[in-house]
Amino acid sequence: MEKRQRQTFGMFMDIRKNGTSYLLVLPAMVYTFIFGYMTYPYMIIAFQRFNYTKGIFNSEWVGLQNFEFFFRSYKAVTVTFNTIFLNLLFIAFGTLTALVIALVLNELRKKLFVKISQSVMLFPHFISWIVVSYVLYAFFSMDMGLINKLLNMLGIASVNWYTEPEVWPAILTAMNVWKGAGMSAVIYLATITGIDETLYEAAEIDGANRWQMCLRITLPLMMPTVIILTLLSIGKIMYGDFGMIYALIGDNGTLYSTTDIIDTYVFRSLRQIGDPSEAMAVGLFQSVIGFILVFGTNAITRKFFRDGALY
Amino acid sequence: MKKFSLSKTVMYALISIYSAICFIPMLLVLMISITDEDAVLKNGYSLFPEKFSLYAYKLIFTGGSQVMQSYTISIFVTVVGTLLAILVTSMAGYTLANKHVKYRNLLALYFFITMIFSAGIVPWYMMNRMLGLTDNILALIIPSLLFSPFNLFLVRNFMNGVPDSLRESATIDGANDITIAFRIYLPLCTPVLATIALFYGLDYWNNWWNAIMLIDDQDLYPLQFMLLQLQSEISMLNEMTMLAGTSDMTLPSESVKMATAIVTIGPIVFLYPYLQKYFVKGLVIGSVKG
Amino acid sequence: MKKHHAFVLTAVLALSTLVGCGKASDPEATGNTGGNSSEPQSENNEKAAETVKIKYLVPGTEPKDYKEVYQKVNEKLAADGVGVEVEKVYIPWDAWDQKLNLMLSTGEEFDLFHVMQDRTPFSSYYNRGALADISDAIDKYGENLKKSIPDDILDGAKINGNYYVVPSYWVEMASEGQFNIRRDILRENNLEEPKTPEELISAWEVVMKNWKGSNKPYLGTRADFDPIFLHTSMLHRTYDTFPFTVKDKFFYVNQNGEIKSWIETEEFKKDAAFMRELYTKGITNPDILVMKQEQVDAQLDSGEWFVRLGTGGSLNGLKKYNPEATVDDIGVVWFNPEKEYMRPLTFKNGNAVPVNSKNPEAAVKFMDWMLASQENYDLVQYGIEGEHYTKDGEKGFKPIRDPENNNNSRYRGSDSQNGNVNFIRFDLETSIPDNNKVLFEPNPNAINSIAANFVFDPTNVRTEYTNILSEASASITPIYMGVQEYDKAFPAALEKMKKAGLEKVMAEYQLQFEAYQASQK
Repeated sequence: MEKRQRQTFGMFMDIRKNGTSYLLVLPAMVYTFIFGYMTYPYMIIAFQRFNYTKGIFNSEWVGLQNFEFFFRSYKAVTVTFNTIFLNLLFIAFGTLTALVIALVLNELRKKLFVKISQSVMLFPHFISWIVVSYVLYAFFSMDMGLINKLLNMLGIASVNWYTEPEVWPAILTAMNVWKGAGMSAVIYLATITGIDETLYEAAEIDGANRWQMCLRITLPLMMPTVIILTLLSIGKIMYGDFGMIYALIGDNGTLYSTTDIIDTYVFRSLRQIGDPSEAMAVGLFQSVIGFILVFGTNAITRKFFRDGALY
Repeated sequence: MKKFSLSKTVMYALISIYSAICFIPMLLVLMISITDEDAVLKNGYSLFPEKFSLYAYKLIFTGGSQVMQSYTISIFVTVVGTLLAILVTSMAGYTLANKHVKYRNLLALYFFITMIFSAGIVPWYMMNRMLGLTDNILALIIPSLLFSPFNLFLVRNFMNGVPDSLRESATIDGANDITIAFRIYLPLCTPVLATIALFYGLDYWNNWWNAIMLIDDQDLYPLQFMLLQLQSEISMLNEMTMLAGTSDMTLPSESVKMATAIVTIGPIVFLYPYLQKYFVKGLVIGSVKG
Repeated sequence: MKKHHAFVLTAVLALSTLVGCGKASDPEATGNTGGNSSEPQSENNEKAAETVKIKYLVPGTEPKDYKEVYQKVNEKLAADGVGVEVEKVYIPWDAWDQKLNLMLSTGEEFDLFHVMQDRTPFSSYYNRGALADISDAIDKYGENLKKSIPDDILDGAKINGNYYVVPSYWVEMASEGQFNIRRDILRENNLEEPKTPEELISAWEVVMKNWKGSNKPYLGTRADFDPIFLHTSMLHRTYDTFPFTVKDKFFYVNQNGEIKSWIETEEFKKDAAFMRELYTKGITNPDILVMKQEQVDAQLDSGEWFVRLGTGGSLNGLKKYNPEATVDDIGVVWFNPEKEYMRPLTFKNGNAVPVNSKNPEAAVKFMDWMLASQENYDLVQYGIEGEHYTKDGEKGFKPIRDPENNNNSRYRGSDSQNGNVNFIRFDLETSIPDNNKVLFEPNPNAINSIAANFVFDPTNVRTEYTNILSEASASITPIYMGVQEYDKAFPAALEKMKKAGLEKVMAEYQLQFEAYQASQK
């Protein structure tokens, strides 16, 4: 009791001391409270057997039963693995690509070129996944796809890409990077812009070349941003990009072994049955695991790299 | 004397290739949007249309006054929303970056949790109903869009990089946090503010979800919503025509889909270069040291 | 917003009722109330001569002249003394499921909504406690409904003896089991109309070989393993065991009441063999597993198709490939036409009353009024005569096209949502007569499948049911579509299905069906 009282007391003191700061953060806190925390009680339907007429107060309680449909499915392991694995690939390659782009763009002198390419790199973000799926189809189609046409010209037989599950993690990663790297690069570029000029000037005086400056100054100073973005992504690692997977893979069962993620699996499963409790249960599962993972990674980050930690 | 650098050439080449990869699909989209629908159906997608046709655009814009109205709504919502969002986010970012605030990490956690946990549409909807955020312009501005913890962390991170000495000297001069935040930090953080302006702007501009769920008044429909309606109406009409063999003319769905994408991007293509000029260092940080 | 979508879709069907709680008593401003009479909310009881306003939710987009037409509709309703005023609320297709679920969950007031059996059957809404019992209303006010909808179809709207939905008898379900063929292409290749599956395959091979167009006339459809969805039921007529049908994708039912696991039957094997032949002979689209609906439609629209399982295609599409085509160039083919014509289910669409509606009778009255006369039906479905359409004989209509509206008429109702074959009109100039006949003429000789009105409730086997649905689209569909060879792939696939819980679901179905049959006696 003592410690808690002390802590709350400490909080009060802090508010008194930094009143204006707390004032500044208040709007955001209120917003988050209303649209976030106040909606959380609804999550109890994950533990109920839901019914419209009975509503949230009268529907019967079924404990963990709603989680069963997902966990009893021998698919649970596969889709969970796919979700995490694909997200890891996306994070890794996405970050790498965006970093490289940002660093390279920073080195180039021709302003017009840089400006134009920066804008152009954002274009993929605007093309919806549905449209992307058509473009992809134009490449990978068995019949008229460009890739098969190329292979044929080289004397190789056509491959039915849409029935080969192994290649799809690579294809999906490439598509994900293509779509998002431009945006991430914007963030990294903003970070680079914030780096103190005098550091470079001092290094130049000491005789460093651009490459060394990049390695010793730019990269380390970007690390907090990189880590933050990575941590944020890890929090969402259990959530797949439903829009992407559904548009690109759709109902093509032959590719499920490597591309089916939790979200698409649940979507298909509940399409006709429409059970809200089960949907909520799975969502809860995804959130909790994601949170645990971030908690762990953040704790590790705090030890070694204080600046980058999330909290 | 011209300096020839291999690595520079490689870098220019790399960026050029990547830019091309990003550009060509967009070009394809543009080309399809001005291709006659029948040609698209017959020949598939092609960078070189067999037959030109602006029919898809006509279709979109013959909404007439309604399209103009939805454009206005979208622009208004985007501008107002983005400005408000930047305000709320940057203020919060300042506090989270303020080393004097002992519990700033707890606050960070407070925000972060909402990024991971969500209770779904239903309570969201009920909350909006309770707050009266239905069928009015605020419904397009406040729910889901006004504040993003992700952007918050970007701002906080950036602000962490601002030397504390600036704050110290300002405090000595008698300034309180609000003054410091607005007079010192914000101007220094233009790069990250421009970044979140881009993100918020895009979110607002592209959002049709709020409209579908919360708005019934046709006059309040944003552009995205109208475009979405057009597309899904066309594909449903086509599907039913095929199914029942009824007579209605089929509408050009392929070219319209692409035209929709182009119409959406249009304004954004102008926004980004405008924001780019903010991607310069804020007031010289080094001036403090002197 | 990626993040938002991820959350949303995980709780995609989240429904909840905080009955009373959070349901503000303010009438949700639904914007324009149209030019209807200024009756305020007379929704409370004791409304003898007052007009009741009802809200009817449908998927789609509001037609340009909706307000005008519905003003006339409401005027006529008043003139006919029905005492009901209707407001139709259109919800975009993409958001239909979610918005409807949302409105049901949060107890919003509306009185009628559209149900699509193949998307979400009304039983699903019933199981969630969302539907109002309208038996009384139908008994009292459903005179015309009973006249225009055959009893055995109305029976399908019952659960435990009570009515929960008003079925739309807009298509004759006994039309299941045929396919469309291009007569102009047959002529082009000097082929006769095929009478057996083998003849069909050989004809198709010839057509493919001689095809001069740029896109081959593949078999194009979305992939599935459900013969009703795919219309591969056309093959079933040729089997000795016909008549039988496949219900809810997994359950083979013959007229003796025998239930078998569809994928384990000989008939499934035969279907798969046929599809395999199509695939290996290059007749099926090589990318069949990924085909999207838009692509299927695009193929039909381009006129470059030869056979379509089920019905489809339009004159416009045909003309793009063959400018000389006429409406008679699409023909309906039945294998073994001498055999019976069976309805696997009795209706595909309907309209239901949500449980929190205060005016279920008014809703039913409106549905009934629509079928009270051709005049009423025409008004709701085709608009105002002279403005939106002109009559073309007894059964026809000509839409009045507005060049400002992309050459479509400014108003069109929805026959599929609330139409009826006894009143439906056709555009004689462009619709396909063969298709009209088979789809929209009631077939008095049709028989119903013994399980036509049986509704399966998967609640007790939810886990297994969702798992087998999922597993089947992964491992069974490729076999059924002919992409994988049955002998090679089926044993492993069946193992997977059993692991997913196939046997438990079959047992449950058997149990429920027997109970259903017992209750029918």
